[in-house]
Amino acid sequence: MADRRRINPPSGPTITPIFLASPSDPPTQPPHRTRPPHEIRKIFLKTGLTPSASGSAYLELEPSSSPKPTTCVDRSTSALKLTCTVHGPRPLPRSVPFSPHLLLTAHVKFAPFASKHRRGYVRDTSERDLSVHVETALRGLLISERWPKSGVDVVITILEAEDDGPAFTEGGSGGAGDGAGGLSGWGMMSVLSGCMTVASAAIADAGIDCSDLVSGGVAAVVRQPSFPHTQTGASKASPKEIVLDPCPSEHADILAVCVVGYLRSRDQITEIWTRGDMEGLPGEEGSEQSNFEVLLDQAVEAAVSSRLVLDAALKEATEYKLQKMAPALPSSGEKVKGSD
Amino acid sequence: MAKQPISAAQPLSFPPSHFAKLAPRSYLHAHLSSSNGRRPSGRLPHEARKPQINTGSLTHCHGSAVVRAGDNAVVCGIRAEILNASDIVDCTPATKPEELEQRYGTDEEDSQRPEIKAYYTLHITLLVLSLSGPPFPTIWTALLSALRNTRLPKAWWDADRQSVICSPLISDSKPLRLNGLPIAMSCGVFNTEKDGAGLVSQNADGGGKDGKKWILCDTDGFEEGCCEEEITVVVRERQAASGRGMEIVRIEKCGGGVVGREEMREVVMLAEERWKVVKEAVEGSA
Repeated sequence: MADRRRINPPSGPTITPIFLASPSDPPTQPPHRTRPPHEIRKIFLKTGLTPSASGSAYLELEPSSSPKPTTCVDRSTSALKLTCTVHGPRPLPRSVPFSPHLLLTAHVKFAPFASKHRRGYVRDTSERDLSVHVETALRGLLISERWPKSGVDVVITILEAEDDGPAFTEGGSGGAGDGAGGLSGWGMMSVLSGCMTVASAAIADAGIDCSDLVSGGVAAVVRQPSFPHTQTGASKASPKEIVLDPCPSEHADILAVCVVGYLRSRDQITEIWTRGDMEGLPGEEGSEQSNFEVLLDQAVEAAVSSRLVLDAALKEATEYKLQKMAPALPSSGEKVKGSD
Repeated sequence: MAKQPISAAQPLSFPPSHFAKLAPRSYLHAHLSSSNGRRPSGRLPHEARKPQINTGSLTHCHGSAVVRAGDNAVVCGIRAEILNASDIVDCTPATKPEELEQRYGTDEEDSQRPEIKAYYTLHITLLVLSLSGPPFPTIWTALLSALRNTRLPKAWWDADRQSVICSPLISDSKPLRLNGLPIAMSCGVFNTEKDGAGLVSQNADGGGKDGKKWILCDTDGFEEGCCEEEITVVVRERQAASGRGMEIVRIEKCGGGVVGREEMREVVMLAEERWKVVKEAVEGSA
């Protein structure tokens, strides 16, 4: 258990600072969703940020609320920030038995400073779980027969994760803030969606043969008492509705979340992960669809929206690569004066 | 790409990028010995890159910085957490509370020293996102920028709760006080003296005899592969009353035997120049 690879602090539990509610400030309102239910957050996606890897991509979601100048040390608006590098395809080491396919390994790691609670340096179970999900999503994507006897590593580092929902009290005194409050960890679902999109971009950047691109999409069933709802809810007291790309800190009550990895051109799903209670959704009248299918369709819709960003980012990167390649092609003689 | 008929034979030529891969040393030598004497990246041998620094972009950190210099990219995140004095177990002598108190304790004028209940622990994590060339200067700049960016919340002992409570206001928080601003520079020495086979000589009389050497400041990944000798110098402004000027914090030199006393003096001068550039970048980012 002893971690010998790093310089560790004195042993003994360190705790995150507990903040007092400031008396002068009015209690800050928890952030609430300002987007329409069918709009996903803006995505920043760029490939090729790590030149030493064969493929790389960086993804960032815009922060939930507008970052107004805050007087508080503890900022609540966090945005998902992911970086992904792809190494390979490279020959398998001799110790590995023969494989007629490309062997894919995915590593997802939270940076220690990624979330409200400090992560360790060794991968924990949730990170392993995410890795398996990402691996499954990508496996359906690669044309692995074209790369026998080789392996590819996909390494995703989460620089900043999404908050795990309103489990933490904002500026609240006392020791609240451990992921209490029933089901927590909704942020994980958005993280997985981002991981799939960014990994797909990095694999495309590495030039590995793919049948399509996978993009992640998330849809959630939320209950918002104050939200002006127009749809007729199934139950009168608590109108539930489906939102795309939920930001856990914006919704007081998340009931169920579905995340998919979707191949748009082939209309296939390579990864589904659902959690929570899907009862009593505002479905269409007389529809045969089950609640699950309603939610799934919405998640696919979110994936279609994020695919647009993925396509645009890759198109931009390819144009840039072609532009860079163009002057090299008709070269005559060695040019001593190089360009950076 | 359109196929070209074989009859339209072109003279054997290839783009510079291929040349660089096939014969890196010759490629670098051809650049350095050309009329303008620039490196493949377009920089002069003594020209360093100015790092790009962004601070405070990570939400869950008390201080953070992203530094890019060429193809090197490093993220540094600093989290301050509280370690209760009573929780310290199995200390090594260096981390005993009394010793910590002696080393980092309150100022001398504070005559009635209060009992120490807890310490701030800084968890510093450095992630290298992209690596090309010597990593230490970039990592060091990231660490410095993040430390400069760090603000610790004001904390006090709450006897009722039996725990440490922090003030949420930024106006109450305090920055860290850093002792000077040591800045690292690395450079490589490209030497063609004992290079009979490795270098395709430009001269008619063959390589090896007319060896030359260049000190390349702030090498990138390609140049690092061509240099056998590497020097890292850390300098900072002199702190003591002994006068103004720069002082050397650390010198590390690996490989090769070219750099003697004179050259080392030159390298230190370069590091001092570099100090100004990086200082400007670090202070400009805050």
